[in-house]
Amino acid sequence: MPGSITDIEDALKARLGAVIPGVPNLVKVMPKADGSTVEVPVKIESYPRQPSEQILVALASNGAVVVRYTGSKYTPKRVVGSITVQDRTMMYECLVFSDSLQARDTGTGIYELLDLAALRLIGYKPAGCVDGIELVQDDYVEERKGSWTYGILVNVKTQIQKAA
Amino acid sequence: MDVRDSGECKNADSKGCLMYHVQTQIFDRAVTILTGLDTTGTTVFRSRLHPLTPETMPGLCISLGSEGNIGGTTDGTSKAVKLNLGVVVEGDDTMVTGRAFAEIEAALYTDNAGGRFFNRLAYNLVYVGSDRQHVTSTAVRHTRLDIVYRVEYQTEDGDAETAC
Repeated sequence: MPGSITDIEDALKARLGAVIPGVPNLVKVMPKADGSTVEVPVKIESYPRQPSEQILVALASNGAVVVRYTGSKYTPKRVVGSITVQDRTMMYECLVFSDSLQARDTGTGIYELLDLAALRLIGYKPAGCVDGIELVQDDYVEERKGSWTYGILVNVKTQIQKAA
Repeated sequence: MDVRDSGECKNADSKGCLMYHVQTQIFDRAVTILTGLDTTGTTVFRSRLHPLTPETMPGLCISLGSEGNIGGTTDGTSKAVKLNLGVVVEGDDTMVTGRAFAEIEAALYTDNAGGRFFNRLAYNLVYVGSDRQHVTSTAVRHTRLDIVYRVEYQTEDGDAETAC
């Protein structure tokens, strides 16, 4: 069913990880043993089923973005002839994990990952949606053992319809 | 004719023949004339409301507004009823609504026989005005062009079902 919670979550993850011409990839710069650096794609996945501190710290060490659905708001229904429609604003949170705030610390910092994630999501219209993604806010979530977490909240609009 | 929400007339005389107020006959004729235009096709609603879904755009809403007494004779009354037309198009649009407007105007004034309109039911058809608005508060951002015509007809007092 296009526009389902899972479909849109999958579409957001795909968008975050896709190669988009003109838009930088979500990568973390990692130091190698020989002193050089390598760009490693950050992990992009759904929120862990049972998030533990170890899992969250592990996500931060390589950089990660996890996506979860946080709920929907509906407009009052419209009934026109045989069609019943409600607009649905679906909200998703993209949690960004990194073990550094700024690039000067250990390569790509969480600030840059946040900016890049927002740039990849704005205006993107997943299948089944009637309008492109709208960024709502980003915010600090927590810091655990040097692992930083920020969240980006986004809205996407769909419709629930019933045609008799 | 695939008109959405075709309202059934529940008025019938003892012989089972449907009986309509001239106002209703004019409305039905307007729906017939305006169904199948190049721009709005068969997406026509007998309603002031539009469902505001992408698949029903471009669409046309047809409804009647207020009616007033504009004169008459000792045994007949001249009446003017407002014919409200709403063209709904996805996005911030002027071109498509403008094209639909031209098609509506042509269709209404082409249904003219012996100087009378709407299958000879009305003796005059007057353009009142229009208003175009871009609506961003709904899930599907759209443009709505509202057009109002005044339809003038006359009935004998006591017989609202026959135009004269």
